Amino acid sequence: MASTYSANLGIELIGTGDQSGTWGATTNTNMGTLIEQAVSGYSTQVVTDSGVATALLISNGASSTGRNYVIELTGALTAARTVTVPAVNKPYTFFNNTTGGFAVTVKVSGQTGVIIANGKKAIVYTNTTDVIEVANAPVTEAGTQTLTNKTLTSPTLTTPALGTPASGVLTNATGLPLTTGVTGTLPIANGGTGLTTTPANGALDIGNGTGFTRATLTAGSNITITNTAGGISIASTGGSGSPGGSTTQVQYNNAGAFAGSSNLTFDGTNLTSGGTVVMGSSFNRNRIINGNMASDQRNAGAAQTITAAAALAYTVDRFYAYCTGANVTGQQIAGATANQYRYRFTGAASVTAIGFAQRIEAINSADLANTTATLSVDLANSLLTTVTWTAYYANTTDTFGSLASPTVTSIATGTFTVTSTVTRYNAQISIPSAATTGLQILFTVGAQTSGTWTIGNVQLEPGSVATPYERQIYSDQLAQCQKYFLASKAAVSGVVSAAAIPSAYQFPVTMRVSPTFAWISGGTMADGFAGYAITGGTLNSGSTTGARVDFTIASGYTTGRGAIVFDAIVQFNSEL
Amino acid sequence: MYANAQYYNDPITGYGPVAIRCNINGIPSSVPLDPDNTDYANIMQLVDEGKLTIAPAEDPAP
Repeated sequence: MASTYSANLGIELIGTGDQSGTWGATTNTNMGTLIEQAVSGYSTQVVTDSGVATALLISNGASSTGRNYVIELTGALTAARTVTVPAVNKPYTFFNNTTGGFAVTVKVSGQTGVIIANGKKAIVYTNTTDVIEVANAPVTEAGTQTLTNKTLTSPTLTTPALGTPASGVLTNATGLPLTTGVTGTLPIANGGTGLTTTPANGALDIGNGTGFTRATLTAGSNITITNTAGGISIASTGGSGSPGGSTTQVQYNNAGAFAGSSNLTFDGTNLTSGGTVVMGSSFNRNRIINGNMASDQRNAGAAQTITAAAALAYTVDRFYAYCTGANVTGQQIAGATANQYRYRFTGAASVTAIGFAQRIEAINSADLANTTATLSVDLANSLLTTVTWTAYYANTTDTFGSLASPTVTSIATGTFTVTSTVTRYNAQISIPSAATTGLQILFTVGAQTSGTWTIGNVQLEPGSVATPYERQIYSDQLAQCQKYFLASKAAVSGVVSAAAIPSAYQFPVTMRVSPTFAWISGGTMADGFAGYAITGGTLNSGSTTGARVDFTIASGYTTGRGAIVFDAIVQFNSEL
Repeated sequence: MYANAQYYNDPITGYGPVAIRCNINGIPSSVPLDPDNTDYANIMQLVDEGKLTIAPAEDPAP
């Protein structure tokens, strides 16, 4: 019976009864050569550097390279090559020790096999179909190795040269050097300038609507610009020549001439015009008359009792006052330095409120309608901390009604938080378009049960800017006041009738309307024969420019005699 | 405060009334018959409200 051979390793299987006396040699070959090769054999195999695969064979019963357990592949390669193994069941360990840096594919002919990188050792086995990879040697193994189609999960690469990756995401990369690690120009969208030119001395990146232009500043008239490395120096060269300026800027040269014209000069203190200064609202801008309390025709500085719950009582010229709860005292007082006068209320127990106001005639305020006006006032209060202001307009022209029945509409109100030190406050008021009928500005405090409330320099002016109090020549201010109130001690002429001495007054200023008349005290009627004390006086007929007053005496009327009435203290009142 | 209002006739011609005599805040005063005069307007409002009466004028002296 002839020998047979095992399917995988080609071990000779002696037939029963065969090789009598010689089977020992066969058995030794089987055990000592063939099995030893398969279990621990180590062999080298030169890989053919051609397109033809290098075949590893297992010959039946004979020593064969393809039977060894470890096979070292050698040879010089110029390209990746292939080694084929028999289609049996067998483990292998391959070592690609070829030169040239190329991989070797170990496979069963016609199959895919396993790619063994150059320098790599791999444990594989064949399963009668193809070569299956069991394990690859780690890539940290010494020597240069090529990884093909491998996934590295969280690898640590030490000083790798990545070459030119086809793609990459550096979201978590740090330490990228800007000077050598990047190329291109950082655009505006990424916070750059889009510019790469080297800036000249003094050059700035100036927006141009779409990007930046790198340029130096251009000097306008009378300006010099000196650009240095890292610096720009700008200087005026106006000198005595023509200054610059624009619609929003005025310049004057160092000779003090505005716009190059000697007709308008400024020396640092005085502004001098060689022509006529045409002003819009800077002069006579204050619509409050006697805002500095200087004119006090009624009381001449004496204290005045404001009766609680009575009708409004005029105090210093153009201002009226009222109070509730208890009487208070009001008085023109001396102010400090330039503010010669102020008005002061002295509180009293049980006082619940004090008001102090001025009514502004329509003819002096109608132009403020539909504009913003600014209210300014000097205030102090030694007891209270809040002063309330309220602006009204008359419902009909110059008719404000009485305290009990006011005929006004509130415009706005606000408060000033005051202290015991006189301080200036201001507020802006939007005057409605309907307010062409006259305005009323009212200041009020609450329970002034003691202490004093001081007021001064009241100003209501066009615009939203609080300017300093506008002072006036006193005679002009008095004349303004006398349109509304006239205190007179003038000597007037008349004629004696049976029961009165009709006497004629000419007003120094045309009054607002035909005034109310009051004889206050005193006076003498002289008819050329004797003098008689005046005991009273009544308005007979009046107008805005003068009035006839019928004075009376106790006795001594001699009809028809001419007379002079003098020293009579009288008042004409045409307040609003 | 308006009180003791009384019309006033011209004492020479008897024509009138030409004014209203009254106390205003305690001060003897005389008010022209002018609707634009604030005192006159206030007096007329009080009269309309029934809060003040204006007495007729006294006969002028012969």
